[in-house]
Amino acid sequence: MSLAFHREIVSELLDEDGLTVISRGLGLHKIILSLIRLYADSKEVVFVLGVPDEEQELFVEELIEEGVPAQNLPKTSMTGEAVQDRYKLYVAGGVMFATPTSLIMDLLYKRIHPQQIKGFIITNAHRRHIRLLMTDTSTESFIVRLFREGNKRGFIKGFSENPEGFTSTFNHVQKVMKYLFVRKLWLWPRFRDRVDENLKSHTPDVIELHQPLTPTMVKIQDAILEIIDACLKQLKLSPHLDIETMTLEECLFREFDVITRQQLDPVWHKVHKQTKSLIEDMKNLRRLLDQLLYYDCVTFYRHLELLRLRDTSEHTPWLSMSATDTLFRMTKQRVFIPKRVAKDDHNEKSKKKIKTPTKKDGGPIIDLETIDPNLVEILGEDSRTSVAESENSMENSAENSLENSMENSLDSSKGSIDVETSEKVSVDVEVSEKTSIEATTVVVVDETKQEETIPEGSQTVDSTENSQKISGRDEADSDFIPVLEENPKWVLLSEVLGEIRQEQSTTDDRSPVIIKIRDERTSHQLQEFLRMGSKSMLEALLHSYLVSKKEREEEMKARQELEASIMSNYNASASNHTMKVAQRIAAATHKKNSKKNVKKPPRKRASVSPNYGNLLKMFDSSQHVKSVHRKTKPVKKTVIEIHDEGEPEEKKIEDEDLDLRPEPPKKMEYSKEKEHIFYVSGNKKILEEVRPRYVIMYDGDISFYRKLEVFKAENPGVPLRIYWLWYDESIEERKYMTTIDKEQKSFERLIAEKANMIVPIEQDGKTEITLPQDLLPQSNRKGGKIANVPTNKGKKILVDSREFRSALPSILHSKGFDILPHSLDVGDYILTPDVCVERKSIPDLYQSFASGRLFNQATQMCRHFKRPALLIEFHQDKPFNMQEEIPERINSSAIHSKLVLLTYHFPLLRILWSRSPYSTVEMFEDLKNGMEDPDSSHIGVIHTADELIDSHEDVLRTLPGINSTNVGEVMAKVHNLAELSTLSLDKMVKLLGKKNGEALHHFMNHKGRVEFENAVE
Amino acid sequence: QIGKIHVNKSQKGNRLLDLLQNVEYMFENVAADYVFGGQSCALFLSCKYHLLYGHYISNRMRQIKSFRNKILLVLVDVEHNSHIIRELSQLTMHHDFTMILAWSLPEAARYLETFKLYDGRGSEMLRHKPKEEYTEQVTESITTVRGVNRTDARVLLENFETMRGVMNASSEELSICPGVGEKKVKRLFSTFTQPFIPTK
Repeated sequence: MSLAFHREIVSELLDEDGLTVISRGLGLHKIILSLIRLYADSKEVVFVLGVPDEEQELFVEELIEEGVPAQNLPKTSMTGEAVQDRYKLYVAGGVMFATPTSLIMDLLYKRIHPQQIKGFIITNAHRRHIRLLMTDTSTESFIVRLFREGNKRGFIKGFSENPEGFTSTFNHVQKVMKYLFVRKLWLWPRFRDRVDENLKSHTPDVIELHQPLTPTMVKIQDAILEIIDACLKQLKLSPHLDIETMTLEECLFREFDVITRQQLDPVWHKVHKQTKSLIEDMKNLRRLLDQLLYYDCVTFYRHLELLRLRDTSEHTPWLSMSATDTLFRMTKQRVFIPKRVAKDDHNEKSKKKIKTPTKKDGGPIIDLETIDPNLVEILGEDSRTSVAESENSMENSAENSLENSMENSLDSSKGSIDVETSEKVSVDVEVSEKTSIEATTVVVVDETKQEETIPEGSQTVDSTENSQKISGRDEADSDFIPVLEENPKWVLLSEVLGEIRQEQSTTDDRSPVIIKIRDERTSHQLQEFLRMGSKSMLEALLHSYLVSKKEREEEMKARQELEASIMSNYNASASNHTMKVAQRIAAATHKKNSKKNVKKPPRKRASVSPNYGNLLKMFDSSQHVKSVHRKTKPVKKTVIEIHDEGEPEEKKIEDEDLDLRPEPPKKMEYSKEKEHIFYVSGNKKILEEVRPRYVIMYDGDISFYRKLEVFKAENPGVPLRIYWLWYDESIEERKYMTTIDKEQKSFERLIAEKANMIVPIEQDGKTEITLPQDLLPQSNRKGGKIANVPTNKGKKILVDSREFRSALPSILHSKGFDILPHSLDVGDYILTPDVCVERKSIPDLYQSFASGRLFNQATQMCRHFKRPALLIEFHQDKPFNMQEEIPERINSSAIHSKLVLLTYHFPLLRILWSRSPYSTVEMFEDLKNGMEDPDSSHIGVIHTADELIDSHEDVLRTLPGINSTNVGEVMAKVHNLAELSTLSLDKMVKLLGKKNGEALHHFMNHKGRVEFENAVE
Repeated sequence: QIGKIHVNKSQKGNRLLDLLQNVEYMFENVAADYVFGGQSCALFLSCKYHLLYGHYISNRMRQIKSFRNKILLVLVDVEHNSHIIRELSQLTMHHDFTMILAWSLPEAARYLETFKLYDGRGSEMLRHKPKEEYTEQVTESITTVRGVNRTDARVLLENFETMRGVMNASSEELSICPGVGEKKVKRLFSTFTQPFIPTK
């Protein structure tokens, strides 16, 4: 801790409780570290909340290095740890990292008394409150309140590196201060004088390098922006959203999601499907903007394809935009282009051209704009679309031509040439050629042979060689050639590295270069790039992409055959054949599974193996490229073909798999011997350990830059040069600027707010029991009478631990109720031995009616309790009514109909209508009035919970075959979801019974990929 | 006669009756305000009326005994109503009535119609319809993990082929999937591998 402003921050913290907001990267970690060090040997417990796991570990490591004795190191209370152990830790004292959810349980169960706590260090103080509308009801605030009620001396110190988090809603910072029971607010923006003085004296040497995007990338970026803008305009029409003033710029940040979610959540059940999917689309599009810059062109293309698959089946207005068209075309163009155009540009040289990877400007970038857009099929390159559809799909077939040709090279290597069928095939070849004629130069086959009548249901796609095509190969072979545009920054990076190396060679400096990147994926990508160069790297990627596509098609084909053969054999009842096909599919499945066992990486990059050489050769010589075609073919034939190409290939895969598989991305390891280190985030000490002289900002990051500033100021002697790589005119630059701008504005707002802030002296909660104002009942009819000494003292309510995600438990507690968290199988709140309440917010109500969950819950409640009740809780900021249109006729899907039916089927079930959580509390008071407390020992349906139930149980409950009666047994007998998924059919049947077991087994082992694309939603 | 709602004569003049379009009604000498069948009946109360005659409704409720389903249909026509609702909640709990709130006369009328029409109808509409479609099932399961959306579900299945594959993927493998960021990887991985029952 050498910088003056660091010392100042800590010293002001020691004197008084408060909330510290500091600019990102200025060293919050160090400040917390020094606090932890300070309290390490405290007799009472100091809780640190909100620190992510990795950082917890880092703190521990750093303290070990400093020689802090083992018994004084901070303890981590990981979820799932046994209660007894936690109990011991509490007694031992010292610093503890805690999860709010387990701590709240322990406080409520009095496993730890507030007096045993010395204080709280709460990082990310802003965080919880962006999502929750009611700031004072988060778990943290509940914890702090319990602490302050039982302990007037202890300290509370809040921290945040996110000033924007405090300015998103009005008065937010004051609310946070109130819930933290602190009266002081300290602000440490980067622009504060004392910080600036410290850092200005020794600044690192920064070289900014601006790299223009390639023309295609610019077009893609513009297209995405245009689409987002269009989506935004559309979204503004939604009656549920108040985003009139929202600009395109603002949509590019995550806050946009937060804002829209905040506005839509309470009315989520009413939001039109289109609005929901618009928001989802905008999220995806926004990510695409980033991904364009940091994915390689093949991965980007692949990713875009996946998005498109989703969108073909859903309602997405933007798909019909011309910008969307540009987006898809340009993206594809970065990967491969039709040859004709390449030829036009480069005449006969196309073959040679293939060898050279296309450079930014020099490459055969073509303008497809001249082609009739109607012919450019952008939706389904997917070959399962009907032939009729494919007539329109020039691009479609053109694309497939490349892929199939590669597949053909696979086929041909096995010699499964099917000359006999060439006549039939030619018909189909022709169909496809007709379709692709606009874009590609293909050999023209006899037009006269064309048959329009292709029997339905028997269409299959295949890649076969035929004599005509072989003869015409010279012209037809390379309809498409790979372009494989490299990311401009790659080149820049290698240049910079070269420059540094040169400089280093003149000195004896051997310190590694740190390359700051955004994520592990980029690290992997750049390592590959530096190792093998962009060309072979991208080729390998394209290759694996094509192979996986081929695999998929094969599987699909097999499936279609099965269907077709079932059809054809239906009358003849000759099921032999069907059996055979089914076996094939089973065998294929088996093969896949066996591949899995060799730990194949998910992208299947490696499974390419057997024809790896061939395919790569293809890139060089383009000998086998042919045109795509659809064809009709006797089913039987196809079967045999598949069969022929079967087993030997697979065996090879298993062998070669191991060699060709790229190393899975490992955790960042670095040693001083290395020339360069890829740095994502996390290890905060990397600078101190490596003491780099050169840092390359591959992906700009303000927080890391400030870290470098601090490091430089702390180590003025070490020369430090930063190469900052920018994409010129890119979204990256805009985003960075906006981030800085927003941080500054937020700080300015906070400074102004602080100047005008009046904080009541008793806000620290040290003088008497004070309830924050907001917790008082909203409508107090006892006019003027100042509220109320809680009269519910000591009355017990059993609360399902999942309910702690909502505000109600906290409010109930503030009204004096004794909250006992349990894991309840039935109901959410048990008020008396007879009264059990299931709470539903309005969106929940709709959702659980739709899913049938409410029916089950009601059944259970009525079975176990004399007086069950459904509590319908409205959102206090939304109108108190159902806001449902009354249609002309009675509609079975209307909420009214469902409520009526519910009352009919559960005559015992009462309905409570509550305006807000505060009204709910009043109703609970009434219901408990004069009644006995519930006793967990009386009720067989509950068991104590030490933890909030996590999503794994929720996921489990959604699985087919799992229902409320067997879920408990599954959880008792199976370790986790991963294990459950691997159980054999026998075991599943044993566990769940025949029907459920089979359903679950099918669900786990079924290959769903194909259906995905045909899914109609 | 069976297809009609039997209406207490005291309801004559209630504008609610004019709004009954989908079912017929007839005046009858019945204890409740509206009788839908042998098992079910309803009392109607407007909040305004209740403010004026506070004891009326509890007296009425006390008189009605022999029905399996007793409904109190409340028209919420008063702005500051939470204390009324609170009080009525108490009363319905005490007298074994089920309270239904309507915020407009047409809505109240719709409830009456529906009560008549759905009398004796089975519970199928409320029950869980298992999602037949595999894709839907998968999407439902995967998106149960917080922050994971439909697109991610697709990407995951695309990459790992089966749910079994998805659930047994390592964090590294998960993180390779395009569009699946670190946070999601973490959540997914811990959801799949976290033990159902915390190890003691």
